[in-house]
Amino acid sequence: MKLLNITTRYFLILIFTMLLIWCAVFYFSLRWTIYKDVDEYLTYRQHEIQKTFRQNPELITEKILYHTDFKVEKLSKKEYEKFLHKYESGKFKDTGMHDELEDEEEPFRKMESVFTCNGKYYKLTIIASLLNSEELLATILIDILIFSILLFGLVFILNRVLLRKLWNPFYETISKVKQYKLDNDSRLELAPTNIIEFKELNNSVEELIQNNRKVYMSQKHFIENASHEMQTPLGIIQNKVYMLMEEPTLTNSQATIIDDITEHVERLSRLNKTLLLLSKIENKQFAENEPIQITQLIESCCEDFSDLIEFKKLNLILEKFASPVISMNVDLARILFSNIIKNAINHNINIGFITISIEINQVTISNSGKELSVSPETLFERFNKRTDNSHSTGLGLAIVKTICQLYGFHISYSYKESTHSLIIFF
Amino acid sequence: MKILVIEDEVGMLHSITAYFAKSGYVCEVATTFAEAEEKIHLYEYDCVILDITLPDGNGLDILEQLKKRKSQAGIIILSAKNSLDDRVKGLTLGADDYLPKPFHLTELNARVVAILRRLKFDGNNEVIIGNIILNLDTKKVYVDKEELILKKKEYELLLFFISNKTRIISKTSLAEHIWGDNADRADSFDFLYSQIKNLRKRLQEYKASYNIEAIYGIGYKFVTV
Repeated sequence: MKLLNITTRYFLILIFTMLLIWCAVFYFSLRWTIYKDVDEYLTYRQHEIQKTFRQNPELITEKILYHTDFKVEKLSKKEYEKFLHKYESGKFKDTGMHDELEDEEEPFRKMESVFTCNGKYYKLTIIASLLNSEELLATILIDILIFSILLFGLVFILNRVLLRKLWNPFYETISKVKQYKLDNDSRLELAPTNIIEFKELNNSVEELIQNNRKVYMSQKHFIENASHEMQTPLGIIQNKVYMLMEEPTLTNSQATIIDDITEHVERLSRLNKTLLLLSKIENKQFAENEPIQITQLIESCCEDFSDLIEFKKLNLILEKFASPVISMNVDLARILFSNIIKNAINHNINIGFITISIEINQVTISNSGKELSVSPETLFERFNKRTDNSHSTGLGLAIVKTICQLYGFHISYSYKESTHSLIIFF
Repeated sequence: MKILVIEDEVGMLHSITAYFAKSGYVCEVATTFAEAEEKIHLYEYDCVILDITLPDGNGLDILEQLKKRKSQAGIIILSAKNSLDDRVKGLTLGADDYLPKPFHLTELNARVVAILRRLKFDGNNEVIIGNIILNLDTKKVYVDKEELILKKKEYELLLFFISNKTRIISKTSLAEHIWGDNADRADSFDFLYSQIKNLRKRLQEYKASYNIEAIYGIGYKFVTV
């Protein structure tokens, strides 16, 4: 989930709850104020009415409530004392009364109290309409809700826009770092920003990458230097041995020794070359990719080996089901397929066969041959020789694997019915 | 034929000059950038063998200077780096060939011979040795005007033999020339033997004036019959 969405979500949840609580608190406090006000009015009326009754007891009649806002009922002493004991000064209650005009229940506030006059006990009930207050409350509440929703929306939009703008340098940095390749010549340059945190991030990233670049470069140079340092002496040995060969007084036994030396120097230099190639692939020094016509490439590799295939009397079958085009380095592509085909020839039997079938997303190379002496799991490991053959470096399939890893190709090997099969999935 | 060898590694330099001197070339040497610079300004050469890693400069600059002076010399770059960049750069700057170290002297010789051949006979791309004629364009071989049909690798072998005529050619240098980086093969020698045997038989059949002679334990030589 994107940071932007998470922030917005949390923010909205928070604002929503806050608004809800605020609405509730506001509603209840408003209601409380209104009730207090109405109750004060009712208490005042009670005093007025009781005062009037005490001065003019003859006025006390059990009036019907509709005509005035109060009614008086006679009470027994027991009832009087019970009420007094329970409510003391007065009892407030919400009530509804039927309004015939509008044919609906109207909200009212009712106050009941008791008093004595000339030794008689009375109960006084006073009512006050809550209609105005209720309407006021409702109007205010609706206003608040509308206002809240608007605020909510505004916050949402502002949040999105603002956050997007604020986080922009961060996303820019990410996309630049993603695109950056160490083997490029250029430095990584991130867009300047005024936000301190992002500035720090950019600086750290730049520094980190700069350091990595340095390490990468020094490693690259180390490989080149190692190559130089080893290839030159090897070359000199090779050439000096050659000069020995040209000596006219050479005996046969000396010649055999020289031949041995040549062969081993050759092997050493090939090993060195191959190891360097492996490191170069692993260090991604073959960066330039181009679309490769796999079918054409395989045909050309087969052509290179055609004499050898003929020599070993192998039957080469090329099955072209599709013509895949894969983006990869042209040299590596050639190394990949010539290594596999070379292997298929090398580990074949006389008068055997090689089948190469090319499909849209895979290439299968099968060849006849004896079963492996090593386990298939270790087949692609370095220096894992299948034969006791001193010409082989034991690195051919390691190169194949390394190239496949570089491009994310999957490679699998199987042996069935005297046939080795190697499948590369693009 | 005058060759300038620019190489800082003395051991390498000696082998190269000794080899070419034996073939009758006049060899001059330079072990530093400065020395090389001086020599290419003072003299004209038919071929310059140039190591691009020199202690006091980049061999590619020498190459540029040669091209600026419109030198007619053929140029072979030697490099221990075997890096693609150098190869591409060298060839685009106008080098005729690029040979990664380590190399066989016979291979270097074959490349020098090829370059000199190209420079000398522009247009007429034929190699004549005794009664054998190789057409480099059509890749056809004639012995006494009669066509000798060879397979691709056999033709390559013959050309390599001719380029290194009368000199010893080791088996490994042959294998490397024919197979390049794919020389690490179990039966590359078996294949080579059969190819050479075949080539020898064919040359004999056609009564060629040159043929391959086996040198015990070491390799071969292309000599007059």
